Amino acid sequence: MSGAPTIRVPGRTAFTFLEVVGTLMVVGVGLLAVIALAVDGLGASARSAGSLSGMATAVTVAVDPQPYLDDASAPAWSYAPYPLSGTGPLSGVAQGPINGYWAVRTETSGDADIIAQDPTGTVYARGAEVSVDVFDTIQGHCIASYHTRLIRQRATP
Amino acid sequence: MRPDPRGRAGAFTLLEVLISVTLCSVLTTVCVVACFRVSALIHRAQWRLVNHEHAQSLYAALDRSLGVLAQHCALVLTSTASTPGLAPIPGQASPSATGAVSLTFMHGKENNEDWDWESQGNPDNADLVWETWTWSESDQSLRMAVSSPRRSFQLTQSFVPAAGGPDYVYSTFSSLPQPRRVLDAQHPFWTLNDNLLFPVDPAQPTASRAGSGDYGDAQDLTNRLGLVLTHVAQLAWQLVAVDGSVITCDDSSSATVVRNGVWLDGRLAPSLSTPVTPAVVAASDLATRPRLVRLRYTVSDPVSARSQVFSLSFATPGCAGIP
Repeated sequence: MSGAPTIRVPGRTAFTFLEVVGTLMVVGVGLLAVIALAVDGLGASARSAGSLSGMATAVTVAVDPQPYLDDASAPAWSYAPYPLSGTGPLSGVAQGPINGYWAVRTETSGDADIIAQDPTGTVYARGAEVSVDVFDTIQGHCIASYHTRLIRQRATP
Repeated sequence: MRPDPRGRAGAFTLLEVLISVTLCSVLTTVCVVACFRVSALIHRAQWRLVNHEHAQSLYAALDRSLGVLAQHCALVLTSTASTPGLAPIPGQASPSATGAVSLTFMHGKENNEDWDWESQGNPDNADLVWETWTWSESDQSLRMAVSSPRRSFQLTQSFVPAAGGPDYVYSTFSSLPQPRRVLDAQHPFWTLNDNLLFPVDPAQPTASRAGSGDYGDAQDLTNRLGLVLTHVAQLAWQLVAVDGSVITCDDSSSATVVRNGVWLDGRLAPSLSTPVTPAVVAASDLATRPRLVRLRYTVSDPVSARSQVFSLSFATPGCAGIP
């Protein structure tokens, strides 16, 4: 190589190639750590988002086992109610995707919960225990739970 | 590093420089790509976070209002169809879009001890106010308004009643939101403006000779509309009635759905002496009152073109239970 001659200064040394490569590696690992930290922070942010509307979703599903879903989510929603005039321990389950979560609603009722019944056995109103769990994904973390008691009533008239 | 035979400081060989430059390039590329991806992830996470925050706030606000829905007052759903062939860009304003959906109802409690008409000025009923939620396709926004519990104004023009009496000029007047049990063809939504104190002309239901301070409930709601949510690409309401029927209101068609209020004294027919039979119940206003109000809306992100659908349901008072 041509050009100005390099002057060696006594007592001063230059980095070796291995030192340069090692430094670059350390910088690279540091950058990866920063990126990993940012991604982890995003995960925490997403989990906190879940805790925000998770309870609203749980209450929605508790009062309404057939929520007003969009065309993409509706086919995946399942609802298996029990017969209103049934006897013995009864339970019905509704579950599916809603608001970006997976909700599972369980409703139970028994003979002692019957409020109004005619002599033929037709039940017009009965109490029911409702529990709703909202998960961030299917089989994922439970982010909200809601428990209430409501009245299941035959449509009037 | 290669030693210099002339005693000068040794220089990197070409291979060493190339390796170092390559490593720097790889690191830089990885960093730039990672930055862009993390930036996109941050935007997505923030967008999701904001959407869920808004959904939670919206749920809280609607649950508070519909939880005290005045079942003795009319409830109105109106929709205007979207422009055929016009597909607005999700999340962005489209001034020429025509789609709109709104829900208007009265919330608050009635003093059941004196539910007759003369009690309208009673302070016990002062929390009976009209509320409206309106979605507009043109600016993809959701707006809401609650009418003022009391509106006051001063009459600036001379007014002497036809029957005689003093001139009421410079007198101060006030009006309260008027509960309306029935809104039908003869009493459309705009008749909520009938409580104008100094109307000029029946053909101009929002005009008053008293000035800008004298306006009715419907005009009051329009004046008070405030922004709640933006980037709402779609919105629809659904009512599940006491009789099990379901009414959907969205921008697929233009329609007006009115659910008249129930009688405060519990009767199901205009006459108190009418026997309660299934036919009477089915024909009553109670049968079509909503026991559930469902809301579904889609929020779109104009940056990433992503969308999120939220479904919320609200139980109304006095119509307990699910069919």
